[in-house]
Amino acid sequence: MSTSRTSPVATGLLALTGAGMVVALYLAFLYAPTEAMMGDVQRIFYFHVPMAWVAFLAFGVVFVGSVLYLWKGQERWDRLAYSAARLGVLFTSLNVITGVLWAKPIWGTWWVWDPRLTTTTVLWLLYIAYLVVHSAAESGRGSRFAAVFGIVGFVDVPVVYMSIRWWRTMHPAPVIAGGSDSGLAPSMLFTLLFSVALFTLLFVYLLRQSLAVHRLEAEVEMLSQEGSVG
Amino acid sequence: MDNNIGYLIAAYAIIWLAIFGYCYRLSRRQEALRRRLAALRQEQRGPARTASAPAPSRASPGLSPSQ
Repeated sequence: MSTSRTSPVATGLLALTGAGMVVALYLAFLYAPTEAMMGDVQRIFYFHVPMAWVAFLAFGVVFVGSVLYLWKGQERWDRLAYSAARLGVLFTSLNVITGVLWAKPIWGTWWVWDPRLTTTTVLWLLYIAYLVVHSAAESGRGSRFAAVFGIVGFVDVPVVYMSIRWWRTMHPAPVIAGGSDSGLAPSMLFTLLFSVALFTLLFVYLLRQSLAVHRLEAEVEMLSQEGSVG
Repeated sequence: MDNNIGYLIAAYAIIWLAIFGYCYRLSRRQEALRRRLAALRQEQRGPARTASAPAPSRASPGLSPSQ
């Protein structure tokens, strides 16, 4: 294992993400036009939606990692699922916080038990439970139990996504793939897609870094055990 | 600019603070683990080198300045 230095790939990803952040801020604040009904506060949208996308992606990785861990029994799949779950919870939290800050000036309230908000809260709690179960585990049995949680919890992801299509909600209607009356101005769509790509890159970087931490922890544990035996 | 700009600034500030905080925490953890790993490797190398070194008390008993 060569974990003693930061890899050039990680450095490159960090540099690319940093440069992308500057561009994303420029696009969100200066390039995209001000929305006619909501005004400037609508610009939260350009980061609120990517937070949700990255959270879904992270939970998808948890699902795949959990399935592979139960199937093959290799630790690395458990580490992948656990690292992705932590990132999923982080990005879901940011999605909820930015949503709350957007709701207050537009709806006049911080929170409503609307289907989209409720299903997102359930998703958030499910993966917090996953992290608690995983952290409380002392052996592979706990990891296997967490993996089952990671698979079952993923069922809520399509429910969250479809909630604004299935039920009447206060949450804005979908702007992409939402029907004939949905859509965005080209400059708004470009800004959104740029942010989605940028946060996907950031997710890849953070996931790699989390996995590097787990590898280092495993190496330290192995050497500590060797030292105590010797 | 409307009077809701504070919400917009708060949303962006929270996002960046959380992400930078997470990155910082990860890099600090990596750094601490690398130091621990280096110390453990050093510990493992230390006794091995002592064991392979020649024992001075056996090699030169007759050349001791006290005799």
